[in-house]
Amino acid sequence: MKNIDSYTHVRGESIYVDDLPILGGTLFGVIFDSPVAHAKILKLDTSEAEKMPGVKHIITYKDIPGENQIGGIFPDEPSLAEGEVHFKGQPVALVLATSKRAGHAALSKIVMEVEELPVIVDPREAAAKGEIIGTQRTFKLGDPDGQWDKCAHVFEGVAESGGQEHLYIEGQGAYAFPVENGCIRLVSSTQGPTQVQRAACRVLGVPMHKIEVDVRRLGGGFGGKEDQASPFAVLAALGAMHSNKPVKLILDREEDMRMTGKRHPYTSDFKIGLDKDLNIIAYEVDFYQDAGAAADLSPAVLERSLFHATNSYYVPNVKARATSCRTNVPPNTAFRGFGGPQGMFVIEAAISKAAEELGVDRAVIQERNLFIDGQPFSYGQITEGCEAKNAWSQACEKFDVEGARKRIAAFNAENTFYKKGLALMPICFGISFTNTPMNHARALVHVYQDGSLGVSTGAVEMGQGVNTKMLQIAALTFGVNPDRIKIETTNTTRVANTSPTAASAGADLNGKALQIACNAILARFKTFIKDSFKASSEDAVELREEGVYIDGKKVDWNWETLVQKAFLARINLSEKGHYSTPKIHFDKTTEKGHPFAYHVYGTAIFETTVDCVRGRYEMDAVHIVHDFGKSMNRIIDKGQVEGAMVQGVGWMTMEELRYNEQGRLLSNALSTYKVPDIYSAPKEVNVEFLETAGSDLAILKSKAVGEPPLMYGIGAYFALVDAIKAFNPKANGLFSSPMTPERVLMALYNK
Amino acid sequence: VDEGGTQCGICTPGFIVSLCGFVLSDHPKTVENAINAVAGNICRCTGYKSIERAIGHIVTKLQGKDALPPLAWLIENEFLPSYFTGIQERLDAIKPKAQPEITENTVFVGGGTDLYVQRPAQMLPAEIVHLYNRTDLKGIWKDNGRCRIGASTTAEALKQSKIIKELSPKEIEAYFDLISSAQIRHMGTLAGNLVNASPIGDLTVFFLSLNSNLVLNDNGSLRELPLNQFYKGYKVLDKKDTEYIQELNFELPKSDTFYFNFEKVSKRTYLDIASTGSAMSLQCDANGKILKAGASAGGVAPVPFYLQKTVDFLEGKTVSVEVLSEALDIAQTEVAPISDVRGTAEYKKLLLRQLMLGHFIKFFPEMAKELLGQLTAV
Repeated sequence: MKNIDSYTHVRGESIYVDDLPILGGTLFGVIFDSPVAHAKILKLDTSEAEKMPGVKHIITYKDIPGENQIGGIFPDEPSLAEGEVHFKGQPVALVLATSKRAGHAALSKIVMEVEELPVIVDPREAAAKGEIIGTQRTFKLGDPDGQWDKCAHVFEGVAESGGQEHLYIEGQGAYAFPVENGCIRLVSSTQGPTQVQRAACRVLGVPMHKIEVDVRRLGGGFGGKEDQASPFAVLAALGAMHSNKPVKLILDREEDMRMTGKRHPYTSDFKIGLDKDLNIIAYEVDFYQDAGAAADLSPAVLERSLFHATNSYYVPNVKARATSCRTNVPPNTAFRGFGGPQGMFVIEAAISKAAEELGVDRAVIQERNLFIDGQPFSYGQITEGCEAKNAWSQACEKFDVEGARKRIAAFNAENTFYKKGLALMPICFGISFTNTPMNHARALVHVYQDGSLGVSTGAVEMGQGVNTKMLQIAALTFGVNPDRIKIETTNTTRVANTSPTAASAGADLNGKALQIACNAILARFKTFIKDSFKASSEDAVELREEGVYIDGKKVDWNWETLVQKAFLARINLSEKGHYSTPKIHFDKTTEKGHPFAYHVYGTAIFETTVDCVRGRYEMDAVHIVHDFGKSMNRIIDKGQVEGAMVQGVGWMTMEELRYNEQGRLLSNALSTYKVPDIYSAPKEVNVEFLETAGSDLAILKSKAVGEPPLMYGIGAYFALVDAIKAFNPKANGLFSSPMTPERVLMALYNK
Repeated sequence: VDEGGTQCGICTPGFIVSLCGFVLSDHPKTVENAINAVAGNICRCTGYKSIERAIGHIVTKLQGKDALPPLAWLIENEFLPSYFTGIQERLDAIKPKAQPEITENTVFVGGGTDLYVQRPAQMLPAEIVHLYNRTDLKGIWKDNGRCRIGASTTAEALKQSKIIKELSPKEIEAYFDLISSAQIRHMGTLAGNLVNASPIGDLTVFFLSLNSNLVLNDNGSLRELPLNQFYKGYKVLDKKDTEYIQELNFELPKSDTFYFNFEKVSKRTYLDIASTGSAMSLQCDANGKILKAGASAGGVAPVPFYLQKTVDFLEGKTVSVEVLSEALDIAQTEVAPISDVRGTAEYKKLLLRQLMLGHFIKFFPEMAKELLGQLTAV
């Protein structure tokens, strides 16, 4: 089935926050953000700015009626700076004006006097100075300390991965409308409507039922709107409450880039030990996460780095330690993969280090150590339905990796100015929020008396096609045409207490809840039909193709007559379904448990060509064998794999986030921060659907697909390294991403 | 829609409008050209492959298109909505406003592709004189052994020009594809790029190496000066506030022993600003003696840089591996790049050497191979 949003998308009719009609009296919010990265605020004078034409209110922390606090995991982030600022771009004051232009004009009239404090931009420096968020975490399996002497080979090194700007094309924004009795209706571009509601209520000092959050769709999220839609939605709500006018707050691109956090950069120490047959015996890793100035979701991201520290490889002795380091950059946050990619990059680097020291192909070490069923992860869960070797071997066979190697060797022997490289990248990604209490969802289904349906869930549509999947579930359960079903906005008054649409779990959790709701209505219908037609049992009744069947024979009721008669018989045509993932648990005191419903596997093969004169490169081909389970929507799922993979390639290659020593973002616009364009997407992309059993905990056995394929992008990095080595065999120890053309050229000519 | 070429949808209207331009244009209806038409559009969701597949369908359907008049066919076959009928007349009916007098406060605007992005707030109240639609400032023609180019000629017009193509017949379109995107090339003008004075201005680097001259117009009085004397310091020009560029001209190459090459490397190969760029022209005689040279570099100095010492060295020499090698070394002594977000100083310096090597690979491939061997020898 096609994405149900695509019709309005191609006609330019889809509605985003900025497309809402402007209500009369609306004020436009513009944020005065800190021009320095760390300082005491000595004086904040808004008096001149207040006199500017069109300026109606200037709001500071003093105007906050509730608590000046928006921190999700830890209460360490004010809504508006109070006394100190901790990163450049931190909101200090909110200007409300009759136009955005008037608001912007007032910014330069606000005077903030500060006493600057030392700025930290390096996570290791932060850790050394004790600037740590939460506690250090350590996952342990076996006894790595006792193994090093027994290993035939032990290698150590440092690996670094850079940050990544989400660059959702729709920036952060919200539109708040005051309604009677101090209530606010808040339209937000957020992945977490409940998170926005909770944060706004805290700051406004009102109970949660007073704020209704509504989300139609997002113009991209990628994790950047999981926690970080809140600061801006809260300010819009605060403005609306303060002024009793509608307040619209939309960040322009540069504001968005300097005020919001990104994917966490990591710097990590690794130590890997192998036996003489290249089995990995022991692995030790020490992650330093650059969390930015506040916790945000960093502790949860940190945890996922630990969960994925050995990627698809079984290592019997593991010690993985992780430290979240407080620096003076915007609080870094969720980004597709959520710490998983950072964790995996390090073990891939460790394997490369071992391979180059031992003079073997890194794929040999990779393949030898892939997980098989029944082996434990470092956190105690045992692999079930493991497809790691299956995906690897099918990728090698279907895409003739041996042939490709020969082709590349021949090309490299013939060509002086260009060299080709190849790398394989297996993935293994756990599905579920690692914080077990978050794994639940609800759905609300109304069958209207004319036979049309309205479906509300807690899932937020952001391009991943979750609404299409929800519609498929309802249509399948009732056996009706998809055009009878409308997927409603995600709204906190219809579906409350939701978890954010994140962790790739949106379709599983909300889809299961929707199935429960639909099945409850279906059961009532079946009983009603059984009684009306004197059928033998409910099991004899079937609804399909808009018709009613008893014992396989069509009766003279269609869907519409069924609904009308059921309505007249006063049968409940609405239902709310609640689902919570069974089986999962995790004990943070022992760091052991069964945190994931299931794992997703796959393998990608990257082929690249490097221009050894200029340092430029192209991705020639990417071949992927991916474990979708039983895909419920192949168009959408393939789109997720391709899109995530290219985003991962961007993170590993051209996307370079740069802050200077003063904590100023240098790559602060699209002219300096580069995401893949159509020419830098790999030329050939093949996605092979691996036929697997799926998992009962996946919706319709169709496995979650949002995040896992991003990590294929790591293969692009190592394919580039492979090509570089073909030109300059001395180019060793390349474990610092992104592999920009600059890094490539320097490595090509490094002697 | 069928290929899932749209996910979150927010970039979709941009792609649709670009493809609309493509179906309306007289470019051959190939997949390559269609992709080129959307190369200036960024999508963060799809990874582009589904968009490419959708483009494949569009191009297939376009094969049946009548040559002329295309509009009716496109509307009939549902490529365009029916309100496109008569769109030309409606566009013609929108008359541009009368332009103000030129004063010291005048802001001259070509395509506006940089000005409106860099300083949107200042542009709103500015006294603007638009030069983009001045037909007398457009065109590329030969005159008395020189190529003359009107100041408002767009980058796309340069790309399509037969005269420009003669500089390097096989490569010229590829050079211009490295410069921004189709959308911007249709708007951005030659003079706009020159006046912007960015040290990494692509067209500036291109024409510097051809030893071009500029003609400036000051309320009707003209003066001519070499392009490499136009830049006095970072964003400082030898230009009065009331002057605008009327024309650029350069001497046409004389024989088939003329070599020209343009190189540019940026973080993203297309749709990006150069870390370093370079161009070189060599006029040789039949024996390989260099009669006239020109060489430029972007991103290595506060201004678009003319490699005067390298040029002085090359002129009069007969090409050999040793001469080329020495030219690389001399160029390295001329430049002093700074570290910034587009690269470290060390990188830009190395990159300039590599780009000059790129010129030599195009001109003298065998000698360049030997040169590369020397550079990588340990």
